[in-house]
Amino acid sequence: MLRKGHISAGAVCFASGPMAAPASPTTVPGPGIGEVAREWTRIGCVGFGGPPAHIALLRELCVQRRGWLSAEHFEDGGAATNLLPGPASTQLAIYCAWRLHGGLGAVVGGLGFILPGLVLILALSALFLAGAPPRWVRGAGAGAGAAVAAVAVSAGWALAAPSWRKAGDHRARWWAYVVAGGVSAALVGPWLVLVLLACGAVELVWRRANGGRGGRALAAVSPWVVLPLAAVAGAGGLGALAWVAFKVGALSYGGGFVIIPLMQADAVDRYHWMSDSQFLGAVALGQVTPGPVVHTVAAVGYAAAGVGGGLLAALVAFAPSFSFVLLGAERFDRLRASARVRAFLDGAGPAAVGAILGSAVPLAMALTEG
Amino acid sequence: MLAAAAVALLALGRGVVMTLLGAGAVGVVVALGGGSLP
Repeated sequence: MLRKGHISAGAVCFASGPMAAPASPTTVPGPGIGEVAREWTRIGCVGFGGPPAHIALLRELCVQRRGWLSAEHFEDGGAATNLLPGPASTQLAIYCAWRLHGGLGAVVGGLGFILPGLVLILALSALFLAGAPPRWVRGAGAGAGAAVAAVAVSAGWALAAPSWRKAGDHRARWWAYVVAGGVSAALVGPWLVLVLLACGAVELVWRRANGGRGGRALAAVSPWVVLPLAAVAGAGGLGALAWVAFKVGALSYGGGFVIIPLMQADAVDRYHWMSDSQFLGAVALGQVTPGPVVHTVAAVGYAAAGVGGGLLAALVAFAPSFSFVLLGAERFDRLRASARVRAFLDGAGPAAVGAILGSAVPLAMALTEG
Repeated sequence: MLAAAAVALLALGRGVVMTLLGAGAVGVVVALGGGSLP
């Protein structure tokens, strides 16, 4: 269930908003900013179950119940945010609010969607990651943590079938990307992002060499942002925390469990912010709280530097999602039409599936090392 | 034992949230029953 869901076309409703398409047959008045705040916060409070639940709730609100967006526009938004790195359903929530109320709507709606789960996971982190939690709390954390590896396998398996069907005539390379992602997640978690990007780049080059479009590097994230963060990560402390959160929010494709091997090696083995069993508990908290599953990064931040660390990690992890929408939503149509982007994701996507399956290995090993 | 209970819960097909909450509840029972925890 932790997948960047594809959104099926549904009831035909009609749109208004900053990017309203000319095909809209009628216009339904959009919501005021107060209504955006209320409704997106409501979804942030009841959005249990990860991206599929978030997408269903957004669709029910924006398309089916209120008619603020057409099914087509909603589907286009979902497809575009699936092409971006980072948490897709969070980006879709921000995008829908942006379509209805511009930049202010994006910020207000995005915060409404994110903050309830963030507050809850920080409160639960204080309980579960305390120095000497009550025995029943330890039991709850150990029980939920024991399920995480199995849940990762289930999530990866659920993603594998549609990805395989989409592979078409490049199934040999699909297997290669899946294996590369799986082995990387199992063995070299901190470098997983590079492997995902490399798989995307290889597919780009392959298409180019075989007469397709593509081949130029996909500079999704400016090196002027990446390099300073990577540099301060070496010093440890908050710089390292910011780098881990940035990798989760801006460099990871696939969302959900793909972020786990990214964080586990850094949080447990490299920086010793938490034990294996605490990390398993943090992953479980990210899954059982409403809103983005990427909230796990806030629990890691809490373990690293208390409430301030949790807030910093969340800020860094979600800032790219706001940036992508606020700075790039006008160009989402071009993004969707880009053969280069699609080729890149045909490589990075299967690698992300493999990474989710591979993440079960260090998670299962953590069960015995906790 | 906790892992086996978790896999069994997942196999019941109740979804991720219910599986994790159920596994957490099993952990509470084990902890309060005096069982060993990781």
